[in-house]
Amino acid sequence: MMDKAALEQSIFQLTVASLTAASNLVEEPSSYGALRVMGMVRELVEILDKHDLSSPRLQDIKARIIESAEGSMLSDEERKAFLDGLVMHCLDLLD
Amino acid sequence: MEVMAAIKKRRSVRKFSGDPVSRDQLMQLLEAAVWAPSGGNRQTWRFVVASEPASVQKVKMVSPGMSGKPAAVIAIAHDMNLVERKEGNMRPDSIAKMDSAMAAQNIMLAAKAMGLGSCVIASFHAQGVAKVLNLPKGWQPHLLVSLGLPGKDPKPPARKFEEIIWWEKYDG
Repeated sequence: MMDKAALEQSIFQLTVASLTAASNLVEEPSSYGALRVMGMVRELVEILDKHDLSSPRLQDIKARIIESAEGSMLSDEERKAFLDGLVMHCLDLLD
Repeated sequence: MEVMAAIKKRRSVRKFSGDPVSRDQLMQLLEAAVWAPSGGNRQTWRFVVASEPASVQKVKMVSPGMSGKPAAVIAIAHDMNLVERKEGNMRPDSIAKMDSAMAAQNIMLAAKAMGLGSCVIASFHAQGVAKVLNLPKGWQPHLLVSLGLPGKDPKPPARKFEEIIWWEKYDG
């Protein structure tokens, strides 16, 4: 059963976190932007998981982001290659 | 754990198990922090610990650099009014930041020795952190250290001594 108030609270917190990231990114290295967006996507899918609103393809994307984030910090080139691959993978997941 | 082992084995942990960290463990980490050196031995640092899940979540919300779900977060701040009184014109802000960094390193090495994972975070919204932690006016948060039982220890990147160290004079 979806708890609408809890879902709204989680989305609100994610909204605040996204805006905070945007504010910080004005002064941070541009490469951080990719990390922050990936983190927000991951958080969004986790919220959807928690409320039974997710799907196998969303969980697949989340798992790939988690896998990439848990290792040592990637170089910009490695991150670009990872994200290019992820984008192409997402396109394969489109209906 | 010996010091060199803790230094070499410490990793920036971004996945935590979800298990709690006890107040006693956190106190041990704070004890390690306050034994760090400080400019002029002034010890103007202040530590605010978020250890309840709701508190940690609030700090995380305004800390884009924080990954995973840590069990606790130690915010290392300085009372800048006190720092300026004690430091005078001797670059008070930079010395306070260096003191914060040394305290953070002590926390992280002690955490490693205790089997905990940690990650130091500089990417946070300072005003936002000050607000959610109710820091008094004039307190400046410099660093956050996220803590918890490690869900995964990342592999260490290589260290390239030949590119960063010279003896007697630079001859690169």
